[in-house]
Formats: sequence, C-alpha cells, structure tokens
Amino acid sequence: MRVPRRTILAGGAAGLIAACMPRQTFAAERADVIVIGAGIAGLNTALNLADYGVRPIVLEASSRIGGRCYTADDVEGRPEYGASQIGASYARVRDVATRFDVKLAQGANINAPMCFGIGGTLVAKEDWESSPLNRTVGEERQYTPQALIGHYMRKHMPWKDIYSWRSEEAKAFDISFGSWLRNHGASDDALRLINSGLMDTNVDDASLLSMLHEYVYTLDEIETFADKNLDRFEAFGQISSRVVGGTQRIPEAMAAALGDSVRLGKAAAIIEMNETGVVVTTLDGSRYTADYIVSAVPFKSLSSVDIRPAPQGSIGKAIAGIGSGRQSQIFMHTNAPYWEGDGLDASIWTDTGPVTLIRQQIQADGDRRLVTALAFGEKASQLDKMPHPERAAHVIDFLSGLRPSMKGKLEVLTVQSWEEQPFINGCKHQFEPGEVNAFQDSMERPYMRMHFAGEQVRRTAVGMEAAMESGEAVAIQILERA
Amino acid sequence: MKSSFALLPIASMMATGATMLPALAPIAVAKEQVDPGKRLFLQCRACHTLAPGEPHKVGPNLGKILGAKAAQKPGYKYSKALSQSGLVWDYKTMDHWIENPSAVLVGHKMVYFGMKDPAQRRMLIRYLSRETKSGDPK
Repeated sequence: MRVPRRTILAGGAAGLIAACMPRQTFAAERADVIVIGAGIAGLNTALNLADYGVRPIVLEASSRIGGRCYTADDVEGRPEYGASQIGASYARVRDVATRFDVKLAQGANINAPMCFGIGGTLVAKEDWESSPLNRTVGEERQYTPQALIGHYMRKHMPWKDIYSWRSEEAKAFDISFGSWLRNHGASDDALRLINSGLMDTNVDDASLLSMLHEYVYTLDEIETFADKNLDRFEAFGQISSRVVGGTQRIPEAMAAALGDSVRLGKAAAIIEMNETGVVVTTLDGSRYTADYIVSAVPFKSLSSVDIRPAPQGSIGKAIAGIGSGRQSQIFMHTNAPYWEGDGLDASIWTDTGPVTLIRQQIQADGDRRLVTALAFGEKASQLDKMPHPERAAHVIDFLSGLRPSMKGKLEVLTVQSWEEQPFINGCKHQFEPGEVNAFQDSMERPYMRMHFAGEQVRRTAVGMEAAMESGEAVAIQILERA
Repeated sequence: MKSSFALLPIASMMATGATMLPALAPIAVAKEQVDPGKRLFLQCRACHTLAPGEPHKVGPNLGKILGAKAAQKPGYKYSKALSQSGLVWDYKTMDHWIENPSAVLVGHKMVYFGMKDPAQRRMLIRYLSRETKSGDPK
C-alpha cells in the first residue's frame, strides 16, 4: 500500500513552507552541477566531480548532513538511527573513511542472541524446533522465525554473482516474493512469520528480484557462518565494521572536504531544465543555476519537488511510484540484566504486539544497557499513529507483559521513526513486483539534465556502498557528457 | 500531480519558465583538459592505487602491473582463483579483463561490471601503463 502523494504533500512541511515563500527573487548562484541531498550518494557525487575540476553545489533540505547515516549524537550512548554496518566489500565507503581519517572498527551492531515470542509465549532458541508453537512444516522447523527468509534465499538463490540480477533472464524474477515462497513450498505459518518481520507491508508487495539482489550481495560472506539461525542483519554485523564515533562521521567528513559548497536548510522546491541548463529554486527562495543537476534523495522525497518539464513515462512513474519501507524504533536503556531473571536470551523476536524485534546490543566495551525495539511495515504504520511518549509507553507495557523479567527495568531514551524524518520520509526504497523491470533502466539514465543517484539506483552493491556507487556512476555520466 | 497550489507564489514568480534561464557557460573544465584515461579510472580508484609502493585498498596496488604475473603483490589477499590462474597481465589479457573480468576467470573477487567500449579500454590501459610505471604495454 502506498500513501498517495497528495497526502504526503498536504501533510508535509514542504507545502506549508512553500506557501509562505518570499515573492522576491534573488540573483541565482552559479555552479557547474547542483546536487540535491547531502547523504553519502550526493556527497560522493560532489567529491568525485570536484576531484575532476567540476564545481558542485550540494543543497541539503534539512539542517543535518548524512541522510540515512544518522547517529543520535544527542542521546546517551549515541545509538545509530540508520546505517551502521560497513561491509568488508564496501570499497568506496572504506576508501573515503581512509582518505578523511575516519576510523573503523570490527563488528557493527553485535546483539545478544534471541528468544522468540509466539502468540505471547516466549520460546528459547534451542527449543524452537520441537516447540508446539512452531507450526512451520518439514525442514522449515529447524529455522527460527527471523531466519526463514535466509533459509529460502540460500536454498533457491538462482545466482552466485552480483551481476546476474540485471540480466535478461533475471527479469522473470521480478515477481511477488510471496508467490515465489509459496511455489517453493513455504507453509502458511512460515509466510505469516516472514510477514511479521518484513519492512514491506506484505510478502506479496515485495519484488523478489530486488530481494534476491540484496541477499546475493552478502551471501558469500554470510555463508561462512555456521549458525544459519541468524538473520541477514545479525550475520552481516559480525563481518562488518562500525564507524568509531558513529556512522554519521563519514558523511560529515565528506561534507567537510567539500567546504562551503554544501548548503544546509536548502530544500529544492522547483527544478527547471531546458536545452542549456538548470535552475533550482529552494523553499526559502534561493536560486541556483548549473549545467546539470543530480537528485540524490529518495524518489519519495523527489516526488514532492516540482520538476519542469514534468518527467513522463518510465522515469515519471518511478519518481511518483517508488515507495519506502517503514521502520519505527524505541531506544531504551535497561537498568538491570533482565535476561538473568528468566535465563532466556536477551534479544526477542515477537509475532504479536506493536514491535517485531527487540535488540539487546552488546557494545565493544561490553556495555549491555542499550535495548532497541523495532517495528517494520504495518506494525510501524500503527505505532507511528501514536504520539512519541504514548508510543514508548505502549511498547514498554507490551514488553513487560510478554517478558515479566523486563518489567520496571526499561527506561526510554528516545523514539525515532524514519517515516517521520523530514525530507527522507521512509526507511528504505521498496520495489513492488514488476517495478525493477519497469524502472531500473530509466533510473540509471539521465532525464534531460537530471541524473539520479541514491541507494534506490542500485547497480552491484547494496546499502551504503550502493549509495556511494550511484554517486560515482552519476559523476562519470556527467564528466562524459560535459 | 504536482502541488501547483502549494507552490503558487514561486510558480507565478517563475511563470516565464525557460526564458528566465540565464545563458550558461559550459562546465568550467572542458572534457579535453582531463586525461580521458584518468577520467575512466574514476570507476577504479576506490579500490586501486597506481604508483608502485602505494598501499592496497579493497583491491591491490597496481604498481608496474602491465607485463607482471597476476596475484604477486605482497600484503594483499588475492582470490584463490587469481592466485592459481597463471595469468600474465599483458595488453591482451588486461584488455579482456577490463572488458569483463568474469569472462576471463571464474571465482575472482574484483567487483566490476566491465567496460564495453574498446576505445575506452585502450585509453584506460595507456593511463594505467603510465601511472603504474609499467612501461609500454605489449
């Protein structure tokens, strides 16, 4: 299910601010290339262009550098709201970290093992296979609920490399993830459990092709783990690096290297193009001109920018249509090791209640106070309807009921929802079945003088590295065009 | 559709549309001012350093690579496939490799889609040869 764009605009800050915009026009500032969005995709575009003598201006709508690299610097322990794992093969991220002297350390988001809340009853991992609450069938039974996706992906992955997902033959895989699971014999309860942890609304709304690419990228590395009962995030965390001081230090260092060409609080409102150039007008009435423009924001955010002439055809549909997954998070501290109270593993995966995952993080120094409750997809939607204090209280209430040893042992640090993040509007792009085939080619090409970067324009990599790769690809396109 | 109502003030401000676009000078650095080989190397540089003795990145340093046997740099962990390949980086092998590494060798670990244009590959190899101090590519 998609939120119609009209709703986003009516409810969003962009429309309100635009209505109050000054009528006065200012002299336009000139750059070679304007980049909108100071996440790592936009910053890498700008850095690459600048290295080759092309002068960029980066317009960031919010007052913060980094986009979905977002370290909560104002919260005790500085948890990560967004990106946290630097994979071993994240060449571009590692390269900028080295160049700008940002330190990495081994292990990202190492969490305590999980127990499982099924229908409100807790089951230990080692009891799962034989538990009467496990209503999955056959070999599914040996996989814990959060590891079921990985089981099906490993068993039926059609490729071994990260290129094949773009081949002609791969187009046949741009179908519903749910139908593929059913074809491979997934039981009703496996489907139900997979659904509970999915960022998409539903297994039937998710493009299998997009998911296969995401899994094949990390398959080699994850395969080295004997424990198949880790989900992809947990397994990848162990072989990844974290950024010392927080992920946000990476985009900040990139922005610092770009100096005053990065402008905060400049939300693009109108992008106008013709045969000779581009004019961008921001919500505060500033104007910028350039030869080319790069969109390095989620398409869901770009869809509320007035692009003239309006994109038609496939790229128009991509900008209007590509939605975002939801993720809503409650960050908490525990004031006592509640897991010693009942002997169960500290993290929890639950099919009931307002959240799905409760991650109890083990910091590098052994600190185990941080507990994060996460809701995805439909659960996040429901949770986001509550004001923040009620949201946190509701989740703590639920956890105290599910796991009595937690009662009175949780304190709220902060509440965060990606859907509520101004100018970002979601946790991650989500392709529906058929959308990869429909949109991928047009996103990789420019529309007039506009080029597209951002994680949604994946080529080989996923995650942060995909954002970096997209920025590099767009810089190459522009250098070849100039 | 676009929020023409919400953006009305600015819409009327810019009603003349394209005619308001100023005449633009072309991008400051003309294409011919940047070595085309250097420009093509942009897609390699996150993983590779060029000058002999520079540090490895996610990929190995390429110092004096042309003419050298594959997988010989100390301090870099090559894939088993490349280590055992017996490849020598002569011009022809390098050209095929850059065109599509996976067509040359199964099981290598270089993440690259490949460069289809032979003229671009020629320019890139010439640049590599010069910057890695390899001498004339054969």
